[in-house]
Amino acid sequence: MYRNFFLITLLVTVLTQSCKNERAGVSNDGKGPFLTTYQLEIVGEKQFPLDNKTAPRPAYLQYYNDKASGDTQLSFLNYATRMIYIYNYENGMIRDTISLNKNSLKSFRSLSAYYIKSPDSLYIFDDVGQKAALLNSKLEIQDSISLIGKMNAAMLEWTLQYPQYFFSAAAPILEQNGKLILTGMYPWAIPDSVLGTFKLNSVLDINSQSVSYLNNYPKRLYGKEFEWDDPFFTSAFSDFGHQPNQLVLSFPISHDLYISDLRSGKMEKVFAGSPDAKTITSIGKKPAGDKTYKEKLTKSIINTDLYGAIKFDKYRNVYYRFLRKSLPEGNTEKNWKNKLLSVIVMDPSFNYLGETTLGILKEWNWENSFVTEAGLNIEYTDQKANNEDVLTFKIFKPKKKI
Amino acid sequence: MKQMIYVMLLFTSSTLFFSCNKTESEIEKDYLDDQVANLKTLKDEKWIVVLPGLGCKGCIQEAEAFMSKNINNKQIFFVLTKVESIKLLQQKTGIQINDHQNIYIDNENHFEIPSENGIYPLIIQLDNKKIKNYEFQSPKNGMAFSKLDDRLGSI
Repeated sequence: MYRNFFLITLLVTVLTQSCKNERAGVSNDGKGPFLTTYQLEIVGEKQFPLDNKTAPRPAYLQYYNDKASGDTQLSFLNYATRMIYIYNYENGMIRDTISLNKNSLKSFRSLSAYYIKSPDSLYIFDDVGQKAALLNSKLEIQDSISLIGKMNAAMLEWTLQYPQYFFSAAAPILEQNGKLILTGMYPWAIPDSVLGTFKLNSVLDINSQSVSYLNNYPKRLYGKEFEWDDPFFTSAFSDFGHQPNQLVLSFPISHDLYISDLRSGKMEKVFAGSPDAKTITSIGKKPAGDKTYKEKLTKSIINTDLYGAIKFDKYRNVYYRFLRKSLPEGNTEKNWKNKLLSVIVMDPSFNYLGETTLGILKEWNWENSFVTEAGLNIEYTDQKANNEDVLTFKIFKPKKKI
Repeated sequence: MKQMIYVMLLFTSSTLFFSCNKTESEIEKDYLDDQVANLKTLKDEKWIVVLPGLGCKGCIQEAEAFMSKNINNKQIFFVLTKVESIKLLQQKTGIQINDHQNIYIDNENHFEIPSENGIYPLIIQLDNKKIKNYEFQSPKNGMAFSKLDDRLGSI
């Protein structure tokens, strides 16, 4: 009798474990206090009319102060038509377009981002050639800059040494002290052999057009123990911090933020998580020949809390951190865009001030978010109206709870 | 009695073991069977073409060209999944989506195939609303739409 019981227990254990791929997890060690004193409230909306070649959810955008006119402007890239559209942010009227279809720019085959420094100084970025160019107002190339040193972009060896960039307003091109900061990533499971040498951030010196590199992936998050094998887990999002020379990095799988000193490259971590976020567990690297990995990966993305962009709001002196919230256990959801998006608000010491759930990711495009004097702008798509002729941002401000 | 228990244990363990090790095509077929069965707007079409909005660029362009050419063919039902923009798709294909009843916009990504082939357009052959065969237009199978064109031409 006992022998049979033992055999059954042993078999059930072996068999259930054979279906699992247990990996380590990143636990939520936040101690709080998690008192909700502020909540985000919608205080306004901005709309920008689109032409017939352009749809909402543009791949890259830049909000900036135009030094010539003194106006604030919103620009974005339609990468299919290679056009940059520039709008007056205040009144939503289009001001200008820049076509990057000149023959002299054809070697920049896949434009992924741009940076308008001034009317006579436009940087463009090519994610196939892994290079940038500085253009003048006539769109003539003033400098061409490799982002992978002397390595050949066609040979994949460079991917073990230099970051790849999935530019968005959540991983934007930032400017400070005559330098452009680009935050990249190693998109797949980073080999332990390069974990100590691979740098995430590139620093492009505007005067010399030289590029240097900063900041490794934290070993305690991305070491062999975990092996996150998808950009959903390996992306990095960034913004400048509240003090000079601070770059704040948000990794999807970490309840902490990492604060880098741009002069020394030293990083410090600080807890900046949600009290509701659970342990974030890796499903491990894709085993060779495992044809079920995609299914497991989708489930993992849906069932895991994943952090997103970090934004510092200099007008209100608070940080916003986005969180793609896990769906409850036992859900049958197949579309990760039905996950809920929330925004955590923190003071400059990263003390928790509150968290507001906005809605599903289909509606709220957190990757197109930016801060203006009016508040935190987040792209909104009304799923019922399905209006593709206008780009809409809802504007939020933190309001003290009474 | 003891022997009976061992036989049952062996049977159970075999079932559990093999349930963890489906092949890629079994996973795809099982998944697609469910999705096709739930496709309420399907009529008497003989083919379903699944066109993903994101994935293999060249393969998707082939599928878009096929859709432009064959949108009025009543034997084909089109499923648009992972659509980034209906507006841009209409512009590329020259098709007004709402004018055609043989198009289903898969807003919930039900037809996002749970395998690495999810980035490729898919052609499903039907027999009485059941899947008879399916194949992907991929770099390894670059003639899938040409073959379908030929078959439609010969019907």
